[in-house]
Amino acid sequence: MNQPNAGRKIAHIISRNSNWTSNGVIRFYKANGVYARKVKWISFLKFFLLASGMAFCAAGIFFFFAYNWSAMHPFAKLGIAQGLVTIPALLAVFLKSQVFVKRILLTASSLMTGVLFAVFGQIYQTGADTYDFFLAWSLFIAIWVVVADFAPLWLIFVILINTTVFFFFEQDVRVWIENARMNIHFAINMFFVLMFLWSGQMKILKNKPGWLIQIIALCAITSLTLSVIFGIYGHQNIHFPIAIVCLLVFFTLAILYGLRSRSFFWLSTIGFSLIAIICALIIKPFDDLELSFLFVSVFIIGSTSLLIYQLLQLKKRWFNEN
Amino acid sequence: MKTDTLQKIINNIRIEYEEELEFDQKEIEKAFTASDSSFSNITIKVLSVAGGILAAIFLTGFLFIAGISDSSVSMMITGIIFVTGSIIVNKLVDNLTLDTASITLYIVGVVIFSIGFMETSDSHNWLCFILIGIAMATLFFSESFMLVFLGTLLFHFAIIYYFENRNAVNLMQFPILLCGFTLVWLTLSEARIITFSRKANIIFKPLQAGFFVAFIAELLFITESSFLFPTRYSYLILSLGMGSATIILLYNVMQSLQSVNIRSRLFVYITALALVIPTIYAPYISGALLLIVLSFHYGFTSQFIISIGLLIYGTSRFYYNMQISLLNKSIILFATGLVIIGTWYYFTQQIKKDEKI
Repeated sequence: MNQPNAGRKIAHIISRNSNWTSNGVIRFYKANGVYARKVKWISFLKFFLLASGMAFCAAGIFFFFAYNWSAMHPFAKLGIAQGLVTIPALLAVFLKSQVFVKRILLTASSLMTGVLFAVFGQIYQTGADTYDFFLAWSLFIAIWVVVADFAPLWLIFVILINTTVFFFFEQDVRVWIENARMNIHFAINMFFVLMFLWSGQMKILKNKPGWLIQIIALCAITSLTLSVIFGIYGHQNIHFPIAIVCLLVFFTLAILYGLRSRSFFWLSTIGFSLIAIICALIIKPFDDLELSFLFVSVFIIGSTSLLIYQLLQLKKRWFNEN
Repeated sequence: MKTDTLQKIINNIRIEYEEELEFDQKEIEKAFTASDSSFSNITIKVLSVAGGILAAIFLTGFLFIAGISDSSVSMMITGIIFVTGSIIVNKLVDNLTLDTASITLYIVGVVIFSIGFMETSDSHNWLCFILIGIAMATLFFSESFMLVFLGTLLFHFAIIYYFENRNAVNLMQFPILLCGFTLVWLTLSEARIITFSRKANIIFKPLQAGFFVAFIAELLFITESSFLFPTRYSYLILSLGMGSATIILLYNVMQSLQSVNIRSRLFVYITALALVIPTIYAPYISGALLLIVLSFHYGFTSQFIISIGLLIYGTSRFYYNMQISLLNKSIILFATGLVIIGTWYYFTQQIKKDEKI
C-alpha cells in the first residue's frame, strides 16, 4: 500500500530540481502505480460492492429483530443469540474457504458471544456486575482467540480484559488507589506485548503486525507513566516504588530493544513518557505556577527537539550502515 | 535509497518520458539522502506535533498567569512577534529539529493575538480578515510542512468563523463547497503544480493535506449538527455541488484509465447517481464518496482510509437520524443491500464477459 507514497516522493524531489514537464510527471505517475490502474479499480469495486451489500443486508436483519424484540418469547431471543454465535463458528470449521475468511467468522462469533451474555442477563436478570459480564465474555472467547491467531481479534481480546479490570476496580474495589490500577493495566498490556514478541520469535504463534504490538505497548507505557505521575502527586504507597522499579527495568529493556530492532516507536514513546514525568517533577515542588509553567514549556520544547535531533542522527547512522 | 538505484530511476525517466531533461543531480541526491534520513518518518512528525501542542498549553498558561491578559495591546504584540518569529526561524534554519518550537510559537501566537484583538475591538469580522491575512502570509513566506499545514487550517477556520459570526449560517454551504472544489482541483492538477515552481512544489503536500483535513472537519460538522442549516435548500445545494464534482471527477478518472467502453461508463454514472440521489439531504455521504474516489485514484493512501471511515460513520448517522419505524428501516436497509449485491453480481459478470473478448 505504500507504493503510491514512494513514487510521489521521488517525483516531487526530481521535479523540484529539474525541468520535468507536467505531462512527464503524469506519465511517471501512471506507469509507477501512483495513479490507480484499471485492475486496481476493478478489484476495489468488487470488494467495495460486495462488502457494503453484505453489511447493509446484515444491518437490515439486525433491525428486523430489534423491531420485534420486545414481543419475542425469551427462548426465541436466546435461540437467535445462540445461533449468531454457533453458525459462524460452525462455518469456520466446516466451510472450505480461505483461512482469512475463517478468521473473520471466528471474530464475528467472538463478538456475538458478548451479545449472547447480554441477552442472557436481560432475560434472567442475573444481577451480575458489569465486570462479570466482561470477564465471562473474555474467558469464553479465549480459546477462539488463540486458535484464530488473528490480529484484530487479539486487539479485541486485550481491550476486553482491560475493560474487565477497569470495571472491577470501578464497582467492586471501594478503595481508590489510582496508581495500583495503573500498575495492573501496565502489567496486563506489557504481558501481551512480551508474549507477542516472544511467541513470534519462537514460532509458536504467527508474527504479529507492528500496529497491534504498538497500540498495546502504547497503552502499557501510558499506564505506567500515569502511575508514576499519580505517585509523584501524593499517592505515596507501596505501588509507587513498584512503578518506579517497573519504569527502570522495562524502559531500559525497551530502549535496548528499540536500538537493536531499529524501531523509532520504542525510542520516541519512551522519550516522550520520560519528558511527561520530568514535567510533573518540575511542577510539583513549585508553589509558584507562573515560573514552573514557563520552565515546563521551555523544557518540553528543548527536550522534544533534542529527542528528535537524536532520532535523526540515529537514522542517519543506520542509513549509512546499510 | 542508494545512489545507483536513484541513477537508474533518473535514467529511466530520461529514456522513457522526456529526452531533453536537465537535472541538478547533486541537489536531487542531497534531497533523497535528507528525505530518507528524516522526512519519511511519521513518528517524528507525531512527536513534534505532540510536543508542540503540550508546550503551547503550558506557555499560554504561563502568559495568562503572568498577567498578559491585563493588556490587550501587549497580547496582540506578543502574538504577532510569536507568529513572525516562528516563520522567520523556520525560514532561516531548515531543520526538522525546530518543528516543535515553531509549532508552539505559531499556535500560541495566533491564540494570544486573537484574544487580545477581541478585547480591544468588538469587530470579529476584522479578526477573521486578519487571521486570513496571517494564514496567507504563512503560505507565502514559509516552506515548512507543519507551518503551511497549520496556516491552511487557520485559513479555513477563519472563513467558517466569519460566516458563523455574521449569522450567515444559511450561506455556509458555499465556503464548504469551495473547500471541496479546491481540494479536487489541487489533487487533479498535482503534476502541473509541482512542476510550476520550486515554491509550489514544496507547499503542495501540506496545502493538499490541509484542505483535506479542513474538508473532512467541515463534513463532520454537518453530520453532527443535523439541524444546522435553517432550510433544506442548503443541503440540496451541497449535495448538488458534491454530486456534480463526483461526476466530473469520475469522467476524469475514466479518461485516464482509457479503454473503458460506453456501457461501463454508463454503469458507473448510474451507480454514482443511485448512491447520491437517495441521500440528497445528507451531503456528508456524497462528500465521503467524492473523497473516496479522489484519494483512491490519485494514490493518497492515508486519506483513502480516513474517507472510508467517514463513509461508514456518515451512513450510520444517516440511518440513525431517519425518523421512521424500525421495521421500515430494516426493509430499506435490506433492500439497499440486495440492490448493491445485485450490482456487484452484474459488475463481475460484465468483467468476465470483457475478459473473454
